[in-house]
Amino acid sequence: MEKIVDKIKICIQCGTCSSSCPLNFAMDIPMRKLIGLIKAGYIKKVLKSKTFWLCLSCYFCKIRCPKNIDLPEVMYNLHEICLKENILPENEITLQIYKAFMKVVNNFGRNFEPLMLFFSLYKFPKKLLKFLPLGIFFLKAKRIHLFPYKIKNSDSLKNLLKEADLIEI
Amino acid sequence: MKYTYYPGCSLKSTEIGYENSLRASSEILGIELKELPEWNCCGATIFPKLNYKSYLLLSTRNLALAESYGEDLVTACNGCLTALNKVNFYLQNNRDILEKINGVLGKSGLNYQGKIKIRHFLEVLVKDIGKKIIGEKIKKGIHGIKVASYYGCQYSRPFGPEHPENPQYLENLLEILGAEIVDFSHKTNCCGGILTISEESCLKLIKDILEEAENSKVDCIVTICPLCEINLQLYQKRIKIFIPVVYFTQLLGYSLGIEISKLGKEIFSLKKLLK
Amino acid sequence: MKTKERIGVFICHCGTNIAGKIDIKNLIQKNSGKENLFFFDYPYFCSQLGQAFIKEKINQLNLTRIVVAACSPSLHEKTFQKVAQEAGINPYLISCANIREQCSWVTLDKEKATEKAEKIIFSHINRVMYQQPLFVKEVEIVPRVLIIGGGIAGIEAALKIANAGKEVYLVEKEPSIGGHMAKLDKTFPTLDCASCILTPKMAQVRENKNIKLLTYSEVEEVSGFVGNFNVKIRKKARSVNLLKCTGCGSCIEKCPVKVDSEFDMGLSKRKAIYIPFPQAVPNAPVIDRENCLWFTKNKCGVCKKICPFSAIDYDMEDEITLEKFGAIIVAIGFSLFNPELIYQYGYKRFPNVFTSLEIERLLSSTGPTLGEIILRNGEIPKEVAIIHCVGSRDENYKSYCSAICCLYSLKFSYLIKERTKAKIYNFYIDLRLTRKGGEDFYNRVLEEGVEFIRGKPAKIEMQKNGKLVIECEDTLLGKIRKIPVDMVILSPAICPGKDTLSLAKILGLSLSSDGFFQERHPKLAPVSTMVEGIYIAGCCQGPKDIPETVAQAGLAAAEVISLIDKKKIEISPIVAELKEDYCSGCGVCIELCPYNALEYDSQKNKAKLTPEKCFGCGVCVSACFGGALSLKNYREEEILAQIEGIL
Repeated sequence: MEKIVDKIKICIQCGTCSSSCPLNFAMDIPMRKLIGLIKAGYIKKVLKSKTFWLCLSCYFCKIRCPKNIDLPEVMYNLHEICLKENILPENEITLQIYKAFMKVVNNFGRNFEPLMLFFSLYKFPKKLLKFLPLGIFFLKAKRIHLFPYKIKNSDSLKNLLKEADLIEI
Repeated sequence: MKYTYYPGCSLKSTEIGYENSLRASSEILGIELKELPEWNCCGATIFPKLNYKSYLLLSTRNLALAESYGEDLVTACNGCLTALNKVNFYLQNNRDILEKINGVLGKSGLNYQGKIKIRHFLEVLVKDIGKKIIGEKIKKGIHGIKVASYYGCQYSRPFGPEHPENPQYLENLLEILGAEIVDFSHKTNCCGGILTISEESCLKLIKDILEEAENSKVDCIVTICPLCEINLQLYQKRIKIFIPVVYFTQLLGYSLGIEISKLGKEIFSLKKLLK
Repeated sequence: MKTKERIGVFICHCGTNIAGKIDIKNLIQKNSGKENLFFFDYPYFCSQLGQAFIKEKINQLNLTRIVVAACSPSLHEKTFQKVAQEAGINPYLISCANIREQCSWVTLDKEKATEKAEKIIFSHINRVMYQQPLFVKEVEIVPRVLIIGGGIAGIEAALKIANAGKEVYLVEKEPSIGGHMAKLDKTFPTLDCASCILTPKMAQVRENKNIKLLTYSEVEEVSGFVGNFNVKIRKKARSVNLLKCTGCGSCIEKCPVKVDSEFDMGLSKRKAIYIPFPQAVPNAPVIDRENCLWFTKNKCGVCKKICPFSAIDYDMEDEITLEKFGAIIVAIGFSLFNPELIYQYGYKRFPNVFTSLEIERLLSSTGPTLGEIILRNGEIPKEVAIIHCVGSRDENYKSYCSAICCLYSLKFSYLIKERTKAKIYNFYIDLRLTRKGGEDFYNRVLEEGVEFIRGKPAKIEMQKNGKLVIECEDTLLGKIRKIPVDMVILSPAICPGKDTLSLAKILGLSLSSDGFFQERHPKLAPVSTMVEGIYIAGCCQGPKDIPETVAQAGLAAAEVISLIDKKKIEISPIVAELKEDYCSGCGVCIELCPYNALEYDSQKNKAKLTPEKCFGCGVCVSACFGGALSLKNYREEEILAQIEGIL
């Protein structure tokens, strides 16, 4: 959290970020207010909000911010903290999709849509079935394969990722 | 002109048409693209949210592999461009962390010195190849076709050779091909990307873009990122606005004389107009 | 001590400040009897009696050098130098040993303090033996002043200096003086008419016999030093003979060429032969040779044919004048930030987005719309938005605050509301209204129903019906608002004048990090620069409003008048000295000198020192690899002797 506070100390609460954000209409706490709350120490309120989960990393806020604060980076940091403290968003599916993506990449080195979809939606078989016609269509068009491509050094990649976890940044 | 090519996961699977058109066009223009062997996924905008350290490692591994070949690293996906650039910039400015990551990569015999430049294929076409060479190789112009140049959000932001809100390279390229450029105010608006926690909100963004394109009366939307293409294409049924969405390399390939069947399915919707 | 010198050592008690800690009696007793060394002590040497004491002893004992062991030299070195001089000793043959700030005030133990004092005193005794007599150089000051820039700052300074009886050359790049102030309609917060207060001053400049007005002219080269600047001025060819022209305007009427008017910020057209604005001084036209048909295509020539006074001269050429000046004031003003760089605000993309200076021209009764606020299509706006901080306080463009935008935005709110009855919105981050009358003005504007929204707009979009929609977060309400307006006014950052960098190179001035001229001291010397004799005033030093500009111009004028009145300037002898034989021409000293006293002599491949510009800071001396540079009164021999005295 201290790293985040360090980055946003210089915020003057001008509101450019909130108004630039394409998803500002869906946010419960405006972006600017979120930063203000972090500065003021209302961490719990910040972590419980929907705002940073909605961030698309479009970077409108960062390039327009008069103090050049890297807001998407702050959003990423907030995500990580939430997952560590187990404060999860209402929409569980998205998080499942993210985690599935991570699992596939960790194991194969590259994404593989069918497996990713399976891992994310196996708890929701109805939703999974919805993707079936699309899957068949893509298979027919040879735009996806039945089996994932595993990069040659996928085992060492797995180890590298484990080691990377141990370093301090 | 030699480059190391980083396709990214999408171009190797569902968006294979993009890669085909890209490779075919490159051949005609004399661009040598050597695919980075055993590249791994860049992590897009998902990894940094879950595990920042893994995110750093994924891109650094790719950069280290690319560095051994020495050429500029070229990609055709905005997400990959941003991930690689972000990590590159971060490591160049935080040498102590680069050392730590190199310490981990060293176990696979890799090491990154921070010397690689990552560029989008569009920039390579307009800046390195240029008007003259492309103009010489054009066989069939795409005259009379009204296009909306849609860059997406991560091409010129947060890094990029152009103005973050008003890039021009795509318009420049399409002009060379003979298309009629229509002023498209949403050209760097976000397409909704990976559709974060609210699918509906993101659909509004896609609707805005498609509506603007419809109001501008364009024949097609030209994209430079696979994710943008998917988003703008896939949800058209739900939003009930139908406009062809093509890749710039497909229009380029067509102009260079490549058969439509070899360029990927997206351009089929423009078949009538192109004839 | 083997020396022919007779050195007097005067140890001051300074009341109990020194005597309370240091055992002076013991010290003197211990060291008396040494050859040619004479010790004395006294309660307060800085007093009249103390000074007389020193003089007496010098004369009595034929002393040749003096050490005064007392407080810091920064307090009384000059006092004791004067005493020495009056007693017949060169004032640079004395050395002040600081045994107060550096000894008695900072050492707790008396024994240790006395020991330290002794060492300090002996180090100075050693040193003073090596010191050389130095002489102050007197240079005559040329009683003529150059003022670069004819805006309100330049005009004020010129009048003040001319009225004090000094000769002034006022050089202005544009065809007329007046600067940006001439473009304004009304000034805040009193809403005086800008022209009404400026034009009488411009007329005074024209009539004042001590002011030589050189308009349409530029300074090209400056060399020399304070009191003796050699300046090369280029008088560009106006193509109109000022002595014959009466300003009748017949030539302008017939000219067929129309070009965007710079004075009207591109909102109207002027001819190729033109007078920039009706109250221009001099009130004579100038031919814009880049657009005139005669000069570009050798056609037309109507103006010459029509002029009843034969004042048009196509053959006129640029004139070069070389002149000497005693002092220079730089008052070149500011330039406005180009908001085209901020793509999302739509300047030049949408027709009804204007900058503040453009609105000033619209508001002005001599402007393109004769004072009416209308949109490009001629309609009166019903809703107007004013956006503050466009390019200011922004790390992406200019990081500083431009000082005047909040106040002039209030002014626009008031005037536009008065003339159009439109609904006015101000989009701000902070309101900076420090000027006298600022807060009252704010209250007045609020009472008129002007809305203030605290939030920097993300972007402006244009709808099909021409309405401009401003998207911003009202941060005080925490709501996103999309407000459609007819007209948007941007308050762009105040940037350094266009010629700031080139003039800085010509004059040897440094710039601060934001690109404005660097003042010598931000609080106590805001108009002086690091170059003695060159002063800065007005917006070229930093964004400011008219009252502050006038105050700075007055201060610069006072500095100049006091300088010139001296008639002669004393150049301190504590300057660097260059031994040419030791110089390798490496150029390190030239890069380092903050006062531009060193330059490269390409013929000799060596550095060249102008001692009159030197401030004696010593940076070049410490940097010189070859030992070619030394600082008078602080030479290596003197300093080494001082060190030896301690060891």
